[in-house]
Amino acid sequence: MKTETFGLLALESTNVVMKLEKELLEKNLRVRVIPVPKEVTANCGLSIKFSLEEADLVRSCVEGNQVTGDYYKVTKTGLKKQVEKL
Amino acid sequence: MIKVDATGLTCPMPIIKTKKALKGIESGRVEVIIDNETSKENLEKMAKEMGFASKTVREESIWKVTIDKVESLSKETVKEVKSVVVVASDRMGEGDEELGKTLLKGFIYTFTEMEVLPKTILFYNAGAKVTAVGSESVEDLRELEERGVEILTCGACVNYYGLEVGAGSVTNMYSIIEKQMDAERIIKA
Repeated sequence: MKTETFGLLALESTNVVMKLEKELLEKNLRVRVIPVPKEVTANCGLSIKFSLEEADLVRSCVEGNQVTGDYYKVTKTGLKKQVEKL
Repeated sequence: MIKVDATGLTCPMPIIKTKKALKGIESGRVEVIIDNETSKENLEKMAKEMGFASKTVREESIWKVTIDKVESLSKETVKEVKSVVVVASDRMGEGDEELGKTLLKGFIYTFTEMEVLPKTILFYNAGAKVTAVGSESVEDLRELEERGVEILTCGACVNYYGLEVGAGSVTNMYSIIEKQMDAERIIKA
């Protein structure tokens, strides 16, 4: 079964998610916006999926915007997801 | 009997945990412990919708909801229906363009996480841009295609916008109508 591990950044504001996506893509980071998985929070917002190797770069960009979010490590095996808070 | 301790969790987590537990068994009993009334009501409602009997007992500050999963009924609830998804634009819903595009990307992505998939996804007018080379949804669509979903894009639209199809194949108005006429359920993005 296919296994994938990635980072996830959950933020409160949809506007912030969209703004950060743009900035991160401009920096050529491998990110994309995905709906927050049900396993992460009950809130129905959007989140930023990123590569764990680029976690520090993502973090510094987020901090540069003076916003805070919750970081997670997601391990996806088939359709099952395991979520750990980072 | 499977026990699910959902104390301290707020909606919809108790529901999600219970559904997972129910999914994991062919038939049998699941006992859920919760500490808020909203979850109690939602669990009872969910059991009813799934066609399972439930019983609730209150013990001081907690509730114990037991749900009995019956095999024959559960098969019916997962019965696959022929669903066709229609993407008629490059954004989801009406309103802000940028938000609509972000939502549509999320919409397509979320299908890759679904166990039960639609039979076909149709793309037409600006929806054709979603399946085109360079679209951020191409990879998700290829994955869906591998899992057996038919990805069809209106050929006239591909031509009009000068696109190159990146996932699935092109189709015409006949099959756009036929697919929808044949569908048991149509989902609009």
